Amino acid sequence: MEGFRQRYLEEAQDLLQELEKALLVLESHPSDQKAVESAFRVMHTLKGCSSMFGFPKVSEITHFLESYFLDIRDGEFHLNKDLISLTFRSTDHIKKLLEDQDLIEPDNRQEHEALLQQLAGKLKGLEQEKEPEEEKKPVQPKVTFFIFFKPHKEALQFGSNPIYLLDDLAQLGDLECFVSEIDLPMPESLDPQLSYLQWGCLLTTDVSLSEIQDVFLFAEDLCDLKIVELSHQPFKGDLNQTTFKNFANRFTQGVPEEALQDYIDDLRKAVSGPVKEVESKSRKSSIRVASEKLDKLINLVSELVTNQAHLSLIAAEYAIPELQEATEEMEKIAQQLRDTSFEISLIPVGNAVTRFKRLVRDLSHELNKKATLELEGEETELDKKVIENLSDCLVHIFRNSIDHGIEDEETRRKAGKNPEGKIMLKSYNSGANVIIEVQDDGAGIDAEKVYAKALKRGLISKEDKLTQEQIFELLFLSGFSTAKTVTSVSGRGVGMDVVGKKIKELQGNVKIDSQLHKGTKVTLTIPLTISIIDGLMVKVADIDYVIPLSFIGKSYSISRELLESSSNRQLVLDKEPVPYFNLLEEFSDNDFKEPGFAVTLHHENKTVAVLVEEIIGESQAVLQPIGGFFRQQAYISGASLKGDGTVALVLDPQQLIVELNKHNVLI
Amino acid sequence: MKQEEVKNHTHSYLSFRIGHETFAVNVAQVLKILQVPKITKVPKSPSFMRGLINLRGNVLPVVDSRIKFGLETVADSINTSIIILSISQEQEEIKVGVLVDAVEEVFELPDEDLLPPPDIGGKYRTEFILGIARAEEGLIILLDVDKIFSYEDVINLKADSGDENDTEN
Repeated sequence: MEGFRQRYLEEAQDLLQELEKALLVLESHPSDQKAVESAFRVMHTLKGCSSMFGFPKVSEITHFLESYFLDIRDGEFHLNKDLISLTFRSTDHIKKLLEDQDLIEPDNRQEHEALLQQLAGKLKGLEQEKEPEEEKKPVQPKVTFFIFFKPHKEALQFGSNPIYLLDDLAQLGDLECFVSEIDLPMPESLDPQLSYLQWGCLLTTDVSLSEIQDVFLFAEDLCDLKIVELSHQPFKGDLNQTTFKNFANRFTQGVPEEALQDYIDDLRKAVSGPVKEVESKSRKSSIRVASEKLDKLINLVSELVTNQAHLSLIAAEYAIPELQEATEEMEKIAQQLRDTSFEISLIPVGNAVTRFKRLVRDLSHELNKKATLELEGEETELDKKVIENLSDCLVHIFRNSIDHGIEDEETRRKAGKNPEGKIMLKSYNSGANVIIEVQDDGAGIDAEKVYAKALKRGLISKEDKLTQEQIFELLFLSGFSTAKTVTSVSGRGVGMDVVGKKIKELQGNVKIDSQLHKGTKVTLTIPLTISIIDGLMVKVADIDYVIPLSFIGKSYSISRELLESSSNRQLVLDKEPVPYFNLLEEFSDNDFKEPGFAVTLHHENKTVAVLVEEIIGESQAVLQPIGGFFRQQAYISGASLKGDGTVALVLDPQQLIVELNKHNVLI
Repeated sequence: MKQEEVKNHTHSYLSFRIGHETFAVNVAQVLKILQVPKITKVPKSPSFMRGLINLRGNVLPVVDSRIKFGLETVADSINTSIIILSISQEQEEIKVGVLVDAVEEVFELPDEDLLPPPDIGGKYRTEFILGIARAEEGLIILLDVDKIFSYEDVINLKADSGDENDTEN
């Protein structure tokens, strides 16, 4: 039973998320039939499951909501803002109920009573509001379908005439057909009794799918037929002439069977426009997997990779051809397995989007500002764990944007801006990193104010000449808050420093750009996955270290003369002076060996070299945490097992340079 | 024999030696005993942290109990072992290896034979001690490993040296 309950809770969370998504759509498009339908379905399912699994309080609430949405779906009355807010409130309450079913918290009990009363009152009010002419048959909204129709070669011999079928289709609504003659043979080999053509049709109609299917009732066995619902909008309105021609041409040139789905997807995008995109994601078959199982898989694969390295080491030692061959084969498979499993744990950034949209909505209501969230590249994928951590950071950033960035309507209007503020969440891949930008078109950050405040707080001194970029970096210091009034939302002086810290934990980087009166852009750069790192293995004082490749510029072999001729702790590399740290000196207590190599690292737009004893080679490191005992050693971001089973340390170059700089200030 | 009666109140302990003293921990917290493998030292870490080892594919920290207890270091001998303990730190169960001079034996002890740590005049600070067991060769000190092997710095187990705190960081 406990297992079922757990499943119920998981499902309920999913359903609620779906509901929120629908509500957010409804808030901007109150008549969106699909969203109403989806909201109703959620209520219905939730109500059923809840009473089945012993959550009667949840079904009490959903019962009312279900009735509303049933009536709205049937066109009995229109959805209004009040009802949407009430539904949002109910959603939040249900979330609480899932944790506190017996209403042990007094706050929850009160909310429950209040909500039930309001819901019941609302239902009564709505009953009276119902329009008297209930006869009015709800008008089916117009839907655009794509129909792919390819009669079999022998279809004509069975007396069916494709043209008549198309005529019938045209009766149902607005029809546009394009024909492809791609299969048409040369005239000499053409058999006039066979059919060679295929059609693609766009049909906007108010009849249902089954009625369209009826048209083909008698031809079903004689043709390849595919009918797909594209959108709730007529194609004529949205599909301009050129796009339409493009699609027609593409079809005429022949769309092979396997490409048909892509063609339909593209068509769907073109017809439904960007607003609907969320809805029209093509469904891929997928299964739910408990995340512990996934973690276990990843752990096993990581172990396999390590053991594989060990095996390769042994194989190289014994030089038995068969063993080597088998090992190489194993290595390939292990690598593929590793890539595939890590891919599994990647999820799109868009997964957390409903939560963000909801947050932006709630905040803008609370602060009486208007703001919308726009997304770009929400399909960009990131490691599951990274996304979980990232969500909290993004929440902080959105809060800041709405609270400090976006101005109120009045001010915006005066400044000649769109009264509704815009926040853009853009994500994309860049090499081994994912870049996430949050850009708002608000007031921007006043660098002078930040500077003045930092001065007042004693974070900097008067002599400090800072560039704008450096000033914005001050925002990441703890205890820094520039809001004039402290609101419940932000201004407690946590926020950005927490964001900075979290992103650092994810081995990432965060940067603020801002233009006064124009807006602010926060850029997060995060490694695709934190569990596996491509690195360079180096040796310092008998310990192997892995330096992530993404930070490395170049490596140089250095001689004693070069080192002796260096002055002011600068090495001349490629004719450029580069400040350096000798890791052998830093990391060993007494008599240290001579460094043989220098590796240059990027650090905040600068280049720094570290001197190491030996360069071992490139290595793929499965990063493991080293735990609280080494909290003070922030420059070690983790450990990794080498092929021989011993432990190598993974360096965090950023922290390393910060740490080294404490003792000998070079940069 | 009244074995039935006491059975429920008897616990098993693993005893080990650090310096000249014998200590013990409840076996429920002992996961494994190892010979000393290759240990990777973490640079600039506190001296009582021996470094990191690989235990079946997992990286674990190893605490050198001699240094942690304020004794001088000696070279590892053939008897030196690592006891892998499961301890709770900051609401989390973590695994940690503890380097000891020698592992002795597992013994059972009825709870009523467990002496409370002496309030006054005891050699060790009571907060780290769960109790004292009497053995043939002397006393065995049962340690509260959750407290002793914490993330904190070197501790002073000896009761009389409370203010010579030798901090590393």
